[in-house]
Amino acid sequence: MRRGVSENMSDDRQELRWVRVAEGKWRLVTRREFLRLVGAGLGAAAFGPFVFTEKTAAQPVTLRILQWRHFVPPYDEWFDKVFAPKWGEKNGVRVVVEHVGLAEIPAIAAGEAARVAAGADPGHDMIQYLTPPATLERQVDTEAHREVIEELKRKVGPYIPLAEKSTFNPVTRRYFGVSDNFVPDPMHYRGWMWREASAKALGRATAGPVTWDDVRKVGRELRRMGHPVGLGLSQEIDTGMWLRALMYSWGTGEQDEGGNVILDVPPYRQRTLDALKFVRDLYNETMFAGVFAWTAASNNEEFLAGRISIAMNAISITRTAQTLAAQALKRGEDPKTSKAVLLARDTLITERAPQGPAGARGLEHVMGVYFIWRNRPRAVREAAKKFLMDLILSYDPDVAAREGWPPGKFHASQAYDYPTFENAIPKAKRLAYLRNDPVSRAAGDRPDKLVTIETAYEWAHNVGWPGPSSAAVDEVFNTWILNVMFARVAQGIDTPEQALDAAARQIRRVFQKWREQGLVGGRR
Amino acid sequence: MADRRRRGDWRRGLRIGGRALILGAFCTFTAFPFAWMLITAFKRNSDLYNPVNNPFWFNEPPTLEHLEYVFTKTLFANWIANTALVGVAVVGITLLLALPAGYSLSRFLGAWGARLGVGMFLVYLVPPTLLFIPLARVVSELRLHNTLWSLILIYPTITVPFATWLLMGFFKSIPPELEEQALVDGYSRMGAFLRVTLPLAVPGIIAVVIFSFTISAQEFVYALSFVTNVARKTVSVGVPADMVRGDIFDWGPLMASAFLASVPVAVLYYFVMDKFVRGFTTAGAIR
Repeated sequence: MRRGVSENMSDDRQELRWVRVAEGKWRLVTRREFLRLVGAGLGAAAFGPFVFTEKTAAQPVTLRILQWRHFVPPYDEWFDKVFAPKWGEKNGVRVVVEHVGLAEIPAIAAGEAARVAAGADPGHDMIQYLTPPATLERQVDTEAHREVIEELKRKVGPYIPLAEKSTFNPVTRRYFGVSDNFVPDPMHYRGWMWREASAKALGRATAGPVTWDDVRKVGRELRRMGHPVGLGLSQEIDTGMWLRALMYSWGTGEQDEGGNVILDVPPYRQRTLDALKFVRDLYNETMFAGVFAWTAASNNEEFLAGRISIAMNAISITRTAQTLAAQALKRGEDPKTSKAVLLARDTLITERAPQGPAGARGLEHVMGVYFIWRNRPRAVREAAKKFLMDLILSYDPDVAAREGWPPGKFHASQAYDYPTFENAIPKAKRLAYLRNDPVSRAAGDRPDKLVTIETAYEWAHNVGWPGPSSAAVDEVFNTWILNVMFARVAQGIDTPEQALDAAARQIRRVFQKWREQGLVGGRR
Repeated sequence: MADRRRRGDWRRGLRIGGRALILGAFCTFTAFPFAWMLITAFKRNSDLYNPVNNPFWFNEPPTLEHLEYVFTKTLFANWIANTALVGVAVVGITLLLALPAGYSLSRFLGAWGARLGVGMFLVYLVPPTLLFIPLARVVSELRLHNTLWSLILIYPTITVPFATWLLMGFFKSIPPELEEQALVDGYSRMGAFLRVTLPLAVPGIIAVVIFSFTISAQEFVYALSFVTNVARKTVSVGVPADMVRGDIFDWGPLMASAFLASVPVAVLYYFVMDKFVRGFTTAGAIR
């Protein structure tokens, strides 16, 4: 071969070219060698991604995640200092986690969605939304979400209907997110106040509210006692939640399963009118004017201040009361007389959502949904998928311990994050924690106080039930159309009929807009 | 005679009393938020959340726990430093652009200058809530996302139009004869501008400095959208983002942070208030 080359050298000599073979090193090559080199280069460029996949995937990858500052500080501690770094180390991924307040996430996501639409780097690869992000469907990697959900279904079993309806668009048949958790929204009440007031109002002291009718009858007494019912009637999230829970319990809602607007269509019209009249009477008999200026923080603050006797919220009221109690005990206060401890013990939650004429239906209070922006580099996309799967599998404390990031998602969140893949932490393990809850114990409270939260799997529904949480449902929620409808009737500004007709017109416009974009089903 | 004097005294007393009453009410109204911040910043949570307690004063001994939280559990010092850095840079850029722009519009373009000035001012009125989405793309294209440079670049889009309009009016109030005299004395146009006009425009410049710095320090939407790294946030975003957990507001640390952040601005205003007011009224520029 060498001989051959040397024989032809004189012919090729004039075709010699300078080629760089290493940094600062050049050598002369013949035209044939040059063509061979160029061919090899082109071949490597064309087939390299397929041949060298493993090598490429092993390169350092950065996964950038944005999520809320969790209500439970130890959860962020676990996520930021244990789970994310250890998972990153194990998988050769640099994980960057940034936290913002939950109210700030939609604005940041809107800016990033604009960048995704423009084909630019969004700034984060994955965001955790606290409501179903249906309006972002076109900017997210729906296929990656489907892969994660199907893999998790194979590994740990079913994805609960609440999560399915909060992340799956039946019109496009795409998943616009992967729900990792939901937070139940039970009714909170003050135990002694309820017992005393129910004895007067119902003729017997009951343990707590079971029906909406109970709330109204006992609420009258509670207001007489100086502790009114505190359910917001303003343009904020908690108001939107409890009013929907009430509507669903009255057998009505914004839409049917197919995405048709139904609240003013018989037989739902009469049910909506009944719900409107009930809320008007509930306000007049049991509440106070402050509910029209309600904020997301009001139910916590008013309840913990001892002003109101009833509120609808996540277990954050109970947990805050318990935190204050634990602080009091640390300061050396006597558990028998400490006001903080007594308040924590007396803060109770209902076993289920209050019952209305059509059933006892409640809502999720927070719907944790991660989404991955579309067009992320392949390695980042795969890392995001694996991160999500491992995060959800880490609900189970034994899995988390085995992987090296204990105590796992359920324990770290102090049972605030409830799994949407129900078996991600088996029921027995959930109950084992809730029956001997360390947070309750540290507060001098009953250790099994929150065990009834388990029933949320039976009564918690999605926003937009019985239909899916679509882009239209999201816009109706965030423009407070239903909140205003109820508030105007409660204030006596509109009759129930006027308020209903005005709201239905607005809701139809919103639904029509999203139908035209092909994201929402239904015809009317 | 004595009666008349007594009546005069009575009227003067009434006048002074009335003024004091109006001034007192005004001061109470304006100072109340600061007093509330100050009291809440040092109040114990158990005192703060007890509705029976007097909300306007301490019912339990004051505490430093909220201040301690702000400085040890959050990156408050970082946020203040970031705010100062962005503020100073924005003030510099604003002056660099708005001074020549305002001067040119007031001196060289006649009636068109005034129209252009109004046009620029109208740009200032476009709300950031509409602009942040297209600007997010600009920031991304320039690879400035999650850096303070994004804010240093974007904030002048708010401050420069207003500052130009403000300075334009101010330069108009300075008689051109002064510059012409300087030109006759041998100064160039630039020399006349720097040595004669600018010193007379100091109240206007101070107004622009304070306005630009305050806008940079309090702006929320752009700061929220373009910077998400906790250590790179400005105080207007860092405080609410880091001291609100879900639906629980840490009122003590929130008020402590708000108070601490407002002190430097209040001190700045105190020292330059007269000139700041003169800058906005443009009166007395050449007194």
